[in-house]
Amino acid sequence: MRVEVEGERLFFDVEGAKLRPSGPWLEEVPTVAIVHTGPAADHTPYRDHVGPLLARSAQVLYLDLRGCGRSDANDRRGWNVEQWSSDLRALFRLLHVERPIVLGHGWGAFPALRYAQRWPDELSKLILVNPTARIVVPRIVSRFDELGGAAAGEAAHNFFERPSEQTIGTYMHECFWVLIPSIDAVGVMVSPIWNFELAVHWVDNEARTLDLRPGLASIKAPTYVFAGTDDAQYPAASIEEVVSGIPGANAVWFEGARHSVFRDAPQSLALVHEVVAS
Amino acid sequence: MKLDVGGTLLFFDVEGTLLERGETDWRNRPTVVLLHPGPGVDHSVYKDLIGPTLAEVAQVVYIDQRGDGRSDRSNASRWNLETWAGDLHELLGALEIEHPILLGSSTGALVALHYTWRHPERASKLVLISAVARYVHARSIAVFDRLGGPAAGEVAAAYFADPNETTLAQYLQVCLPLYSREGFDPDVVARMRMNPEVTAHWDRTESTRIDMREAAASVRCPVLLVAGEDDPSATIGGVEELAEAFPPGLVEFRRYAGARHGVVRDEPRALEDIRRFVAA
Repeated sequence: MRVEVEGERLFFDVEGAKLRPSGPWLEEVPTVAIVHTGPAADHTPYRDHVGPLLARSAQVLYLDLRGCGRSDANDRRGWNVEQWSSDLRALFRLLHVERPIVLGHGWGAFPALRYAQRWPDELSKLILVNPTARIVVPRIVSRFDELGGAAAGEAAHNFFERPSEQTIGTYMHECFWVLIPSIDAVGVMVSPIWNFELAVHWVDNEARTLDLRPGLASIKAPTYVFAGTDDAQYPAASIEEVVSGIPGANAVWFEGARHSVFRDAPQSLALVHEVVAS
Repeated sequence: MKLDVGGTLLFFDVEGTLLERGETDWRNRPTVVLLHPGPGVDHSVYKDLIGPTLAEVAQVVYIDQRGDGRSDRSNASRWNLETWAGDLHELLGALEIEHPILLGSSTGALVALHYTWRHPERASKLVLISAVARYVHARSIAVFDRLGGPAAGEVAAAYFADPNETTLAQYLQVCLPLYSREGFDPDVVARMRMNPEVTAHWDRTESTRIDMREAAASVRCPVLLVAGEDDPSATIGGVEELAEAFPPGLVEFRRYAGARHGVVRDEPRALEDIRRFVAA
């Protein structure tokens, strides 16, 4: 399905009913909105593991952010975290989704964090997977150096310093396998409809100045951070800034996990399910 | 979830994803919109059997129509097929569901037919369960007499003659149990949010004069018609009348001996028919 939100049509898919028969009642389950990573991937990589698991205990909304996947990509002026967080709120209001659980992963943690900052009373829980509050290029480059070798470090440096169709091509070639080393890597890479134009635009613009640290203290929703120690694009030092900035955030670290924490550390799945179901 | 349709909030729920993974890409599954019976009942009647079964092969959208369940009550002047079909059109437009399969049982089937008459290019298939083109009370009373004895026939006749909340309460007590050979699961009944005011209003007004044969003649998509031969509400004679009204070659008519208004609960093969038709 797609709905019109602030001038563009946004795609969402649904797994699991909201009201479920339970003896003489229809039992209401929570709603979890999954906000995908990137820049500019889409919701589909969540369809084979964490999504179906959470759908056992919640209605899962898979979103494609504005500009991504099956959502409209007509106007690049809306390709920024302020707009993506506005879109989340507008979508929830349009569909009358009350007190959602918002799960933001990697790049998707930026809009999730910003949403929780701007409307701290509207979500029931905030689940963050490898969240960072900003893009710190030297940290990213040095982690790619360590985890993927000099070619990966150089590709990361070139992409983040001089984003273009060429440098993102090299970045995907040299760096993707460092982020997603699991057996699922090919499947994860071919699953989304990537919008590389958006990725280049975002890295070249907002990523240079974005800093969500000042608003972290205003987040009120119970926050659960699932953190991999070895995500080169979202380095542990940057994740730590988020963990320490949000009052009372619960963080669990997974040693050796890279970008896809739920794939790299399958024991994290039972934990995230518990957070949603409890 | 709910959507605002011209100032009225309509409740809808979704089960099953639109996208499914093919060998090399993601593909859309069909979307089936379930239109509940009644009026004055809600989407919950589909939640235990038809919905979950169809969610295996399609994205299922449950709707509570205006006046019913968790949707806004609106008011009696809007409790009619034209409004319900209009609401459906708005909802489908807002959610960008372009070519749904519409499934309706009893009066839900009438909403599906009315909608298709208004928007002939939209529905990709129709599944009409326990549906007639028009209500002929003498036919119903005869079946109630046969299934429940003359007392049941009398209660039905009294309700049809003067539909109000008192005669409806009698009807629900005496006649509703005859809607299913197997008897209704009390939990299914308990889960319904009923609105007798809507039911009685419908039976006083539009139900007495509808004739869906013109709408049926305008249908351009495949139709699955599922009926129980012992249905006291959608009598088999009435279903036959509807079946004959569609353009030739579009209708697959599945009728089951001994099954009643709750044909999908009475006859497991009916659910298999529907699943196969939706998935095909």
